[in-house]
Amino acid sequence: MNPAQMNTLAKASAAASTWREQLAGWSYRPFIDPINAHHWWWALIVPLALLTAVAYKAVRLPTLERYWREVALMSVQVLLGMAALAATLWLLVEVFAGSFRSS
Amino acid sequence: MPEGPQPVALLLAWLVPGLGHWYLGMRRRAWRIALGVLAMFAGGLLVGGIDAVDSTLFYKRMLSSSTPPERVDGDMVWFLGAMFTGPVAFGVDLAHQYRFKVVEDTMTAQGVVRVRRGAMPYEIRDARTGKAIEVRDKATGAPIEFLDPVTGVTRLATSADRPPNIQALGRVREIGTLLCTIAGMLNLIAMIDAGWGRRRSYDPDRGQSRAGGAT
Repeated sequence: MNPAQMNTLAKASAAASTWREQLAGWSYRPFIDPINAHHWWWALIVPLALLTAVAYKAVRLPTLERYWREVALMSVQVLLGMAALAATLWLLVEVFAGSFRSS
Repeated sequence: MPEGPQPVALLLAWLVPGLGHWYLGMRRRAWRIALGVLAMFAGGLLVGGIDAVDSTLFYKRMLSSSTPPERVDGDMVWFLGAMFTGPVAFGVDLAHQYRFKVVEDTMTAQGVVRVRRGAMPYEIRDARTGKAIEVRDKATGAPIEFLDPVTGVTRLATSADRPPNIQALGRVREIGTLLCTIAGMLNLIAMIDAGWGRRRSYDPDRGQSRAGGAT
């Protein structure tokens, strides 16, 4: 990296820092602004699975006697399915595709 | 309760999630459908902000061919799912389009086109005209002087001068949009069940003892 490129990078970094400070100073407005969940976005899959099961089982079950048990079961099934999909894709990209790249 | 198609229940199910089942006497199911669908829709807005619901006003162009040329930036495909949440989705979308987005006139090959887009972090929205006003330096975010549209006085921007909403990015945007869309798709299932469900007369939720299979 030459000095001109380093200078440009330093300026961009300083500008990004100023912008970060600016954005951090703005309070969160519910239902208007997005939450700062960039580091734990994956945890939002839990309410997604749970609420999907709440509405879906309310429609599909013949009786509501075992409703909450069925909701919990479906939520766990969805979460495990997503985890399995993620693991499969990780294997596909990191292991199988990686072996092609190295060969 | 008559068997067969239930258009009133179908319409009610779209108007308010769960209301179709309530109308058919399935009160406990109705509450659960309303909880699942509305909590998911509200969750989408909490996560992604109002930006999670964005129709690009495609329905306005479909309904009226005489509207002036306008390009609206947004996620129309996702709204095709979210719109089944009911009027609440259209209400949020209209507020987003007309109270939060900024407009600017752009010259194109077809002439002047009005573009409706989300405000950038360095812009505020003039509530009267809907146009964007730059109040910060694009590169650094440092406040700059601007003509205040309310007072008519030129002044330096403060931290109170912020865009009407912050646009969501990355995974947060994806999850917020996804929650609102899945809410609509779940309510579509509930609408079909209310409108054409075969559960009707034997559903124990309606206070009758005869049990039966799911639809």
